[in-house]
Amino acid sequence: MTPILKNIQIDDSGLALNPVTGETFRLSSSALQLVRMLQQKADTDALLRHLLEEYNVDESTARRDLETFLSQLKQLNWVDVES
Amino acid sequence: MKPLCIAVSGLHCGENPQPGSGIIRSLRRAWPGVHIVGLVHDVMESGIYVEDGPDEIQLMPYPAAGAMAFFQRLDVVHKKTPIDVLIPSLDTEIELLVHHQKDFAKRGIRVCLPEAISLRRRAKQFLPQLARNCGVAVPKSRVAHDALAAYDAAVVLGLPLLVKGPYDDARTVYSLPHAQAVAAHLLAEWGTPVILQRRVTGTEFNVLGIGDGQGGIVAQCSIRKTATADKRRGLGGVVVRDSKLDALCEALIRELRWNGPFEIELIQDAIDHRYVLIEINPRFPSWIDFPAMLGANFAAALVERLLESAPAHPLPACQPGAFFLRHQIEVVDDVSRYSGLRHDDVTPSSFAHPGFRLSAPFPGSPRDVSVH
Repeated sequence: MTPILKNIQIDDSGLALNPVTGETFRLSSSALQLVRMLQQKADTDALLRHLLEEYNVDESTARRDLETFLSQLKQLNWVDVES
Repeated sequence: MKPLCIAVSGLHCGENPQPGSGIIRSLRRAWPGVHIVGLVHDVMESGIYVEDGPDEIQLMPYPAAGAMAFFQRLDVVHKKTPIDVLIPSLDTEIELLVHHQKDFAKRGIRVCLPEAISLRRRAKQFLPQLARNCGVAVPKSRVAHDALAAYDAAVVLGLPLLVKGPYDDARTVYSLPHAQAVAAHLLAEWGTPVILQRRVTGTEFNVLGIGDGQGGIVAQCSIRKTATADKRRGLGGVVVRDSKLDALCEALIRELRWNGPFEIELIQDAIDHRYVLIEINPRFPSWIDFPAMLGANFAAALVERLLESAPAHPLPACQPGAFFLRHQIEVVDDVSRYSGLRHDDVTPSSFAHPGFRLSAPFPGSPRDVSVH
């Protein structure tokens, strides 16, 4: 986890603020849950388990969606490349 | 007891808003009963006519008229309305006044100005040297004192470029003849030199603060510009908090041992994400009242420091995410309001400067007529 992700401020509606850049983002409910888990230092396996438990998806779909989501966070510099 | 009397300049809020009106709003937030003297150069300065604007208006000679004209006129104003604190808000004015700090002390007027050497070191033409000393990136730039030299500098730097006047104005140019033409225009309008600067693409950040004159910062507030007009003028901003940005500003202010208000302008390079120093302004910015609305009243903090009687308590930090948008309105008054603001009030020596306008102040208003 980067210091940025730790400091991202999120309200219950899913509005996220990066305090370093002042940029705001609208997180979907699933993205909100995953970002909060990442802020609590959850690893990729925990995120995958969460998706499988909460959403009616097969493992390959969940894995693909999670990779897409994490790559978005990497582009934003919210998570390290190796996360 | 006589109310606190503060003189403020730079009241125009047109296309290029000056800080004075924002400073006055901030001062009134802190001291509703404060007496404000608006020092203006022109009766067209829009801040004269704002509701809750200055309690009185005094015309002053343009800074180019020199220090003698300034103090002659200030003495007239000071005799009529004793001034406790003066907050100069224009770059050209500050450049004039830094050499005369003792003249304010003699008159019992408190003013917070940087040392002349500090002011000079942050001037646009000397910024690269300052930045090097502080390990801060700056765009490649060249100084030119005439249009031909500007052309040559543009050849060396490559295009596109920003061509800047010494005090204000910055224009992007995309060809060598355009660079030369813009340089000629800016030299005529603002004087020498012009600065040619490689254009940095990225997001602009501004940092407002007050230096304590010992190398420290009393308080600061950083924003990212969220909306800009022509010439990069900010129309909106959002508070940010970045330790890298803070450290960079602290290094600059420490190196300058800056005393008084400042605004540091930087661009975060879109490619390598480095902060690149663009300018250091020696005054409050036009968005000075934005942090005051969030509880961090920089103008009041400056006055408290100057008055010494009141301890300067630390300003609260502005929370990231708070934003402002510039909202322009019309101000309305009657011509009778400015009939008392004639340039005749100003001491004759200030008329020596050709830039001091003697004609009718408003288009369409009656001109002064004399019989030969």
